[in-house]
Amino acid sequence: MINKKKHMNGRENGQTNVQSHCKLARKRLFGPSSSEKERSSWLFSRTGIALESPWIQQHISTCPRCQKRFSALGKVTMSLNLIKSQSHDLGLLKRANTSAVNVLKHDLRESETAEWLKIALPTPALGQRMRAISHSLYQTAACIAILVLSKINVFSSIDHLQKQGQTTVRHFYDSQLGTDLSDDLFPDV
Amino acid sequence: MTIFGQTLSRELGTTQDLDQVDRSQKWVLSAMDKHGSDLVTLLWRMLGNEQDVCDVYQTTFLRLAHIEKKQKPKHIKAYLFRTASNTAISLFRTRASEKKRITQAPCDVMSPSTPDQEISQKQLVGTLRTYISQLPSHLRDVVALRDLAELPYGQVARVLGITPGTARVYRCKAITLLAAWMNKNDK
Repeated sequence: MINKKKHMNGRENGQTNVQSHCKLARKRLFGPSSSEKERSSWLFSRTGIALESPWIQQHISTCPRCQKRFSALGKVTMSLNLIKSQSHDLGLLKRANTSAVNVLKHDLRESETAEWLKIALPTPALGQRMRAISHSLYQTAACIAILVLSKINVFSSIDHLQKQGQTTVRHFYDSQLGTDLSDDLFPDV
Repeated sequence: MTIFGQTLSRELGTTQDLDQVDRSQKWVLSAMDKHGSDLVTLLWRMLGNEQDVCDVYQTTFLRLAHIEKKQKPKHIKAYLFRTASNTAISLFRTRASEKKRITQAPCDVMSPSTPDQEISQKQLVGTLRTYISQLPSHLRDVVALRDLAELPYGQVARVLGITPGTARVYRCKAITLLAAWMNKNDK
């Protein structure tokens, strides 16, 4: 009887554990995160999935309900990405502008801006344009930073500071423990 | 201008005296210049048809030009994106119901999916577009602005007049709902 009770308790605990894992996984997969760290991973994942946690992966591999949820979420994400990946014709903006300008009043239609809009082509944002050369730009910036730091003697100042610090500590040990011990502790200073 | 555009022009009373439009309406053109590209991208992703994109784009700027009292709205971007999104959804729904009526067959979404169809990108995209159009308006707006127009949460919140946190929550609800509908469709 006692064994049966224990077994039942164990089963209930197991179920509760799985349910809480389900809830946590659901929160992680669908819900907005509260903490700043989670929020950043949420932002980076774009879909709200923070899959890097091993427990999520372990749980999904064993829980059929979460598997279903995850596959459905994956389908939504894939469809959204498919929509985004289909680019429109380059002349679409031109055509849309022309059709919109044509229904505006006469003096607007005849203005220079309108003429320019009729031949306008979509230009990617500055961030996107810079993405191609961003890597080399970062490298150049890092080199320049190192050059500037060495030019203004930051590195030698750090060395100097370190030596001064060691000397101060040695003086302290000299006064507290005596010269013999401090010689052993700081042979270089 | 196509039939859809003409209907809307009639609704808006464009045949009225166009000369009454304020002279300072050059801001319409500058708004077109500033937000046109993003708007076309959003509409293309929502509709997936070039002619429809042109129609909705035209309607959006027509509405902006004939806005009440002919005055520049406070937040032009919000006005443009919301008008475009709403017009696109109503056009999408009209197209879907027309298609349903003509073919007298159930909509693509309701058809049983086979493994071949599952692979079909077109069907997936079509299904998602249909489901997005069926979302409640507050969730749909967030999905349209965040996922299709790729605006940051801050801007989405500003356009919709909500906080960024609320925008995040709405997006989560929308994605959950879309995932559940996708799951249902599979069954």
